[in-house]
Amino acid sequence: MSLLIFFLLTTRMVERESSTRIDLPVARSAQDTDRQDLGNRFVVNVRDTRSEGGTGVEYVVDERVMSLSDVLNRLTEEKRHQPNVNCIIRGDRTLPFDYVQQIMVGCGRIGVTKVTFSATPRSQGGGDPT
Amino acid sequence: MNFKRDIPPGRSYAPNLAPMVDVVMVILVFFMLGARLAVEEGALPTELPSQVGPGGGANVTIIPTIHIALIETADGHGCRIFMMDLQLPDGSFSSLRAALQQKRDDGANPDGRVLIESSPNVEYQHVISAMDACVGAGFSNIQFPAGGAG
Repeated sequence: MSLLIFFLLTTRMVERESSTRIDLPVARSAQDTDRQDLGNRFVVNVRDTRSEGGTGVEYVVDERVMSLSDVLNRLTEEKRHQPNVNCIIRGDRTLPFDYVQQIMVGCGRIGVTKVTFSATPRSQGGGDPT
Repeated sequence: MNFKRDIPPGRSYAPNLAPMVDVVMVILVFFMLGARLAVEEGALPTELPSQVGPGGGANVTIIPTIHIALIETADGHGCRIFMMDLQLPDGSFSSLRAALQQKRDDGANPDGRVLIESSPNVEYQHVISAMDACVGAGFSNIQFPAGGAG
């Protein structure tokens, strides 16, 4: 019974950004998101669909697949309501950086200056990148 | 209705604990597995230049303290690493970190601007690894240009 109480207390209630499966890049210095004030979040998931026979990339916001222009429209709307919105980019590690950079360029145009990259502090199965 | 049983004098009844122990064990196993399955997720924050966007001021070019460029290799999976326009002979991110650490030891300002420039086809992991090397060496002001390298 005491073991059960221990696990109940120590298991963190993980606030999932999205159920979208993303193979995040590895960064040892990635800070724990719980300890950090990320402010008003706007989470953009960028999936690499090439391994699944897709054409390249898929942008997912709130579990909905949308085009880059729709993502930026949503971000513009969000910026209107929350001026200091923080754009969190969750991208597959195998993506060409161009797809991520397009979001950053869009953020710049909209006036969103806070951009955060999600990463995992440890490799999930694979080895450390060089 | 009378639910009382006829309990013989001198005997007492206790609830059956076996089903309760079964349920507790199942919940315990659930939490043990759940704790292991939770994927750790961290964050690498950055700030885009404040002069961008509507209402921004004049576009002023600030020379960064450190300039890092990533150019993809011919196979498309790796990348060549340049620091201050000099290619790192080793080409690994651990050597980039060591070179950045050397800069710190030579007196580089940790709050100085570090610019990471990447060509479009470099894998996202490599850009994050470069950023990781900067943060690991103690630099916190990491920025990305609007356009890419190469």
